[in-house]
Amino acid sequence: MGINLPGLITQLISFAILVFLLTRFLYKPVVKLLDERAEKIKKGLSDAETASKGAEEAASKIEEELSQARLEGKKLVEAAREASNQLREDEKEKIAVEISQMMEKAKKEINSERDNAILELKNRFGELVVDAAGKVIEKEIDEKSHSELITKALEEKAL
Amino acid sequence: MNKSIILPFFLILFITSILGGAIGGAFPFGGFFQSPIAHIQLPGEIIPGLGFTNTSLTLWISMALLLAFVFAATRNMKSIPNSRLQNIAEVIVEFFVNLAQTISGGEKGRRFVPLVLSIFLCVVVSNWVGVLPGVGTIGIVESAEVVYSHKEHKIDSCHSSDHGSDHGSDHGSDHGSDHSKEYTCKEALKEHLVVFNKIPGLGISYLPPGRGEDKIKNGGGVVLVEDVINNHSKVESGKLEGKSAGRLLPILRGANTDLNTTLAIAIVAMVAVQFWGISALGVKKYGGKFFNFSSPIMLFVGLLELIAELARVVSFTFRLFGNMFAGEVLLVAMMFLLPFIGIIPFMGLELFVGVIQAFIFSILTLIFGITAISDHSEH
Repeated sequence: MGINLPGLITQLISFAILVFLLTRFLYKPVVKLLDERAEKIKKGLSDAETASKGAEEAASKIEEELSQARLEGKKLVEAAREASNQLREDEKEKIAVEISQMMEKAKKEINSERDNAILELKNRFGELVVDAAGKVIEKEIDEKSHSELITKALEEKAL
Repeated sequence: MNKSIILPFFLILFITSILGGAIGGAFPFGGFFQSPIAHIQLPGEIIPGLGFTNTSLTLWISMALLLAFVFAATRNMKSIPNSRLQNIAEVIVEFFVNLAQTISGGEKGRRFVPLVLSIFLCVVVSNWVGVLPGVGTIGIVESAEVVYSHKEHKIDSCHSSDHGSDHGSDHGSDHGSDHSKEYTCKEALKEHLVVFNKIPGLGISYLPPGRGEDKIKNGGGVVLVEDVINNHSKVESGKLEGKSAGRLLPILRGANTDLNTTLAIAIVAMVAVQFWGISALGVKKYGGKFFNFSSPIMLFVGLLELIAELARVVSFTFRLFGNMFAGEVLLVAMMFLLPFIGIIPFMGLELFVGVIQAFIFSILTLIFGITAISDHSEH
């Protein structure tokens, strides 16, 4: 059959050396490389997952902020509108007050003007009456009867 | 060449192959490629002057090829591979790592991979080298005297006869020149030799096609040892002029067609299996699988386990050897029957068998290893 000890030992040693060399130069480096690559891929995938999660979070945050901002803006607009309304209201009131004051003033002025006019008219009218009466009676009446006459005429007139 | 030509073309080649081989030799016009069938020998032949067998030489050449590939593939590895060799190496290693992890169910399977991978690669490369052209067909021509003494040495009746005592010790070295000795062993004298043509001045012989299994005096290529040694001048002298009769001793022969190689790998594998078992379970627990004195039945079961373990070495050895040796014989026979073309499918078959046998050897090692590290007492 051909089995002999020297041949067997030769092949045993050859094969053992081959196993050693293959382990050292094929198995170990390749497995190391494969493991490193698997690790890298795993890390890359988890990184990508974190990144996408972060992006999602950021997007939702932005959405939230945006809606808040919108709400705030609405509030601001509302407030501004209210304020302007208020302002208009106030202005209107103010103007009304001013107008009424002016009207009051004008009324007063008109009244005082009228009083003055009346007074002046009274005075002028008295002179006129005296002149007219002097002309009528054609005689100078004295000072005393003069003022008596005026007063009497005025009283009659006023009545 | 279009499709309608290919089929007839190969058909013609195939018919030529059949006609040129030994089958065609039966017809007067055929047999133009034929040659005497090669001598088939079970043990590996020792190459004269080197002291080791041709199967050892082939194993070393296969290992050198394998290591050259491995160095080239892993010399400059990158995480993003840019060489195909690295891809191939990665695919092979990853395949076995995944397989070991799948079968053993986890990271613990990794300890088996270096050996399993080595067995696969060593066996597959040496099997494939055995199919290469030139392996088994290029060699040294042994002379008729050497062939005679080898055969005489094997046969007890010749060995112990009148001159057996003075040949037992000095076998091998001086038979070619020992003209004083008598050639009396009948079986050895009937050994077949093949007639080679010599190229003058170079010392190289070759086997010309066209000579069949017939004797040389009938136009064939075969001559008996006795015709060369005893009746050299008388019968064949004219026919052997410028030729040499002898037997081819191939320089290279498939490494796994030698039982020493397969037995060596099987021993390494089974020793490793025992080592894995002991290192995983401890000497006491692992030994308890084989030597269990708790009950007579368990003792018997343990003994069976022990025998099974030894039988695994034998089955490893003979499975691989049987397949590869049979493959070699098949190729020799097919080369004889269907030279050149007809042999091609059988070479393909041998390449396939080479992978399958390597895979079986390595996977069985893996499975035995996993069985060894699993704790039976827990079930």
